[in-house]
Amino acid sequence: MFKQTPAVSSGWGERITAHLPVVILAGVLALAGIARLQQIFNWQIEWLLVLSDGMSNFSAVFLGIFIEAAPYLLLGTLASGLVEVFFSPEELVRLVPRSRFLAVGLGGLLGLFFPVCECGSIPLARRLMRKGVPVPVGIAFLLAAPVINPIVIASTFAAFGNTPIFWLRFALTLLIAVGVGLLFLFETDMSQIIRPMNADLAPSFHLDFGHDHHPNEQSPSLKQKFKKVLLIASDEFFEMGRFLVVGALLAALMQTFVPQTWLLSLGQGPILSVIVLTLLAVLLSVCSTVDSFIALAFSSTFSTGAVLAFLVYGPMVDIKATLMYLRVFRRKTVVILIVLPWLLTLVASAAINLWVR
Amino acid sequence: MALRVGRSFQALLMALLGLFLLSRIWSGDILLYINQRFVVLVFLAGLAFVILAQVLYAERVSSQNEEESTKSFSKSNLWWLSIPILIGFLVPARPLSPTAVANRGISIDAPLSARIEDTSDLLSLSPTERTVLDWIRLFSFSENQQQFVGQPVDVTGFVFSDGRLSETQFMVGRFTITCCVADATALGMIVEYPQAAVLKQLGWVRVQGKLDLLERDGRMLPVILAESVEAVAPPAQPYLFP
Repeated sequence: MFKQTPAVSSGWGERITAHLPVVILAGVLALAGIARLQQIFNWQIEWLLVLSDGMSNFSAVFLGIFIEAAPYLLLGTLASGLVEVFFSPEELVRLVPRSRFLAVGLGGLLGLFFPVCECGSIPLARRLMRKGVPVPVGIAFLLAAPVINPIVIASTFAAFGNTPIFWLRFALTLLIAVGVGLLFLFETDMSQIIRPMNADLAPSFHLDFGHDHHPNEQSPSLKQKFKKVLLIASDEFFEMGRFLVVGALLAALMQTFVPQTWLLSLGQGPILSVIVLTLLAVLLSVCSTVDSFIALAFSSTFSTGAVLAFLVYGPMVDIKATLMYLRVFRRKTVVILIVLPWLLTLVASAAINLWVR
Repeated sequence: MALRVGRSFQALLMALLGLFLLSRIWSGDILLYINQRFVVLVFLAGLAFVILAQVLYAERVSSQNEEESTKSFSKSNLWWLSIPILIGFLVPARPLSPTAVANRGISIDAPLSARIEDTSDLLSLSPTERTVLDWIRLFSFSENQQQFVGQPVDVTGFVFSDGRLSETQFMVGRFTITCCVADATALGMIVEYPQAAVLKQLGWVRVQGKLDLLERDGRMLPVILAESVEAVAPPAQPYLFP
């Protein structure tokens, strides 16, 4: 029952992830066991003390990120389940404006109605695109929703107040999200952008009793519909949750072993400071609902453009989001989604540093 | 059959995840991981996980009649999610240890809000009740910093000293958590203490003394003129929440 059928394991990602979790699990448990023995017997051996201390800091950071993000991921997958069960593709497509430019622009603002952070926006964006919402609209939503939503607007205002950074954060995010979304208008073949639906999601999706297949059957009761929402949500939680786990593991590893002070001492110039803070945003992988408070801590030592870049790029791309992107999109698309917003952020922030201040 | 086992395993993990979150909230250890303002959200998520586990477990039976039960269920997804559960249950909940300062650095002034904050809450606290964070906030947002000179100070934190300080100085620091431990930032106040050199680096101390001002790089900073510095056990809640 543990074997994977060849049809299921498509692509390098699948092959690696098939056995990796068990290996990582064993490794983490072994290290945790050694660290625990050190604590119990109080061995005063230097490398053991370092290991024990590192292990406890590592697990604190890892669990911190995971516990913080899990509720938001669950919210996103529940929203995705609701869209799947209660909207037919025809209804959804009818809601999208005819004008493509208008549609992409609205995609960027859709986050105002779905207040989710990056963990939640990815499952929802994928669901919308699979249900027939044009890919450019979905991508604009994906990139903008973690910032352009009521919760993040409130928290950014609480941190920065009515300052240029507050307004620029939303303007720049919308601009980049819509710009990158419009770029995808040129690619008409959706299968070149999005990975096909994988079979390991199949169990609950195959039910599919909302609309087309069985027109003669009675429509399912509300109770059945809600049950299906919950099943889809839990399947997607497990599917996306593993990227949250890997992302949190990597972020915790780097936070335990790569000194932030080293990174922060690297750059203070108008361009270098922007690069450093975008890198830090990727490394920290904090949720967009709170990153403005963290950005404040940098605002005394870093340029305005760099802080803005942290606030704009961080919610679009970080370790866990990148891994989730790899699940949803083809690799070429993921590279575009990572590099293009970064370049745009860099240009805009460096321009602000060089000419506006 | 495969699906049935997969569903049961999925239900088990969901239940464990929910129970883990709820048990950490019950014991109060949740505050070693996240800021208190997220506890309600995590509580709701914990309940939701337990309910989802129930739904998934019920599905284990009903789904075996359906055609898709021949499809193999991806186990690797499930193994990934067992990592946080096992780490959570097996590694004892301990706060971020002060050794992390070496990686994260320490700040003497975090402008925790760019806006001028209302400091009346902090001013109404008796000076000896203010924490390191309260003092730094008061200093960032008060117009008249002279008013604090000579006030009694009684703060607890870990000892941190680096090359920027003289031999008779050390910093008393605390971690502040805005969201979760991943964003932990160390905040410190400079303490003037003749025997600073003999203090154990990163050990926890209670510092009592009087507040004074110190000019450094053209800025006025708060400094504690210590009257007594005693080693204490780490506090039960080592973080400060802005």
